[in-house]
Amino acid sequence: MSKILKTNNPIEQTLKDLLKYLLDSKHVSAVFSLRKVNKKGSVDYGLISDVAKLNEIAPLHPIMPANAGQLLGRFTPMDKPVVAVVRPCEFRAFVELTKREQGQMDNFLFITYSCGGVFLLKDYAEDKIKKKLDGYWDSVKKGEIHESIRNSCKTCEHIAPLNSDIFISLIGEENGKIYLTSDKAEKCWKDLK
Amino acid sequence: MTEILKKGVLLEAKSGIQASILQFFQDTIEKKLFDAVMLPMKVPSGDSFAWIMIKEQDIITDAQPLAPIMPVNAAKALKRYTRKGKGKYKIAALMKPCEIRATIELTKLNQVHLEDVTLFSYDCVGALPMQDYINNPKIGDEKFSKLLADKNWNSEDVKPVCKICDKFSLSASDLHFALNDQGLILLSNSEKGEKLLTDLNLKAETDLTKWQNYIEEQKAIKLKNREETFEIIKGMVEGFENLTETFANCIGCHNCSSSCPICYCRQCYFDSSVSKPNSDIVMMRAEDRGAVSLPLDRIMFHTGRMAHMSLSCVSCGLCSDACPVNIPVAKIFSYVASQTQKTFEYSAGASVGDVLPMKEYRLDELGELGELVKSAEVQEGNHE
Repeated sequence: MSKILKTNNPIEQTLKDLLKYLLDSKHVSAVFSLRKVNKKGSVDYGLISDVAKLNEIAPLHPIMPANAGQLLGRFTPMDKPVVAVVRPCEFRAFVELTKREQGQMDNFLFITYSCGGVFLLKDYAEDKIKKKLDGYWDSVKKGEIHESIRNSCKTCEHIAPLNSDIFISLIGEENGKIYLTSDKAEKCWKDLK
Repeated sequence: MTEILKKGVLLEAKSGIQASILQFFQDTIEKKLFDAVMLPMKVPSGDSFAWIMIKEQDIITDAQPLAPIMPVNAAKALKRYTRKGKGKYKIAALMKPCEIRATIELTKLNQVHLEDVTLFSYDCVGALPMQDYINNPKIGDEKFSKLLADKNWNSEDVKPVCKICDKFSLSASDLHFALNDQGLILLSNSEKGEKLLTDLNLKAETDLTKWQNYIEEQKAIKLKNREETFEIIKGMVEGFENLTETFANCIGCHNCSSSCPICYCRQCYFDSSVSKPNSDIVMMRAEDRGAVSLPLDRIMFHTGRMAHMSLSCVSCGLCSDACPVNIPVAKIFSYVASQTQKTFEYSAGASVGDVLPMKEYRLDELGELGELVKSAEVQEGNHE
């Protein structure tokens, strides 16, 4: 049975606070998330072990510079606990890779979210997405498909996987809800209280 | 100017440059001077070109010798054919000058065998960016036809690296098609080329001075563009912070390497398991620095490539065409190549006879380093 956490803070801030707590309290040794790497707005995936550096993360940013499933596959098995914030399709890719013995789920706490899709890398490279971001998040709140996201995202029917440890509901939500969907996640929550 | 290049053969070009070149190759096949001709041909979908080895005279007319784009560097196509030694057939291959230069570099690296291959080049107006062409081939074809008709060597429509290319004309080919206001002049540039003209009973009687002067004028314009562009690129890549900022959007796809004609290694370090550390090392790096970017080592990949192939970089620009996040890879590599090649007094693709700097040790090279060593030795002696 899932537990639902409600928050009055903006959902991305709540998520960042949660990640900070997990890292600070040594529940995990590192956070795997999208992060902004410069003022231009370039993003990449990072493995972050320093709490101060969590200010740079942008876990819900609608860009996919690489498939996180593939990245995680490259450096598993992981001996230390890591929390990873990934899109549903990236999570599914990682699950598939584990079946092919190209990755291992052990020691990961997975956070996924209902995904509004990502912009084209081409638009990102041409710096066209900054002005579209507000409209994108409005679309997500209204449960609509933003016109500028990739065609494959527009037709994606697996936007909300519930088999991760923590699931964040964003689509159609004013401020999102956090679901604890595994025992591992509930244990972290109990410790937090 | 060598003796061989004082005069050329004026070719009939009433039906256009492309038709004239095709007719020339049809004649060579008919006279059995070649068994096949390697030319670009439009793919059935109409939005790109492929290199085709053509034996049948009738099929030659389907080719487009001066293609508006460069989806694959011709040197790479020729490598596929001759990498395991010369084939059974005598081949003619028509390429852009940068493709000729890549072919020469690959020949030195034993990836291409030119024994039975005759290389033809032409005055290149530049290639259109791949993505622009694929988005609208019809407009691309119109633009390129106009560039050829106007003999415009300074168009804004061509790839950025073509705008700064000063080696757009005669290269190390055996024969060269020169475009001038009279139409098309065929020049021989080697003994192989001379022999072909003799076999075809073609007499080199057209003076080349006017064409050569025009090419020199265009080169001067391109060189100026090149200097200005390199000043900007220098600021983007010199210093580690600038370099990381410039490559910040890199997604680690390695398309630049896959498309590069010079990156020929079948076993690349960056694709090997050695370059993919396990979780312990990734976590150790994250703990050391507070955070680590993934995929790992993207800057090392680009600097490694610079160290590995910039001496042979011919600035064909395919790396930029292949980059999904618009990093100006070609201009960056062109700039780095200009520096490394200058250091070793080497010009990539200029001649098969020039020894690759990586293959040669000269006592007198890098004199300034020798001075540093001497000075260090003197200082060491003083301490003793």
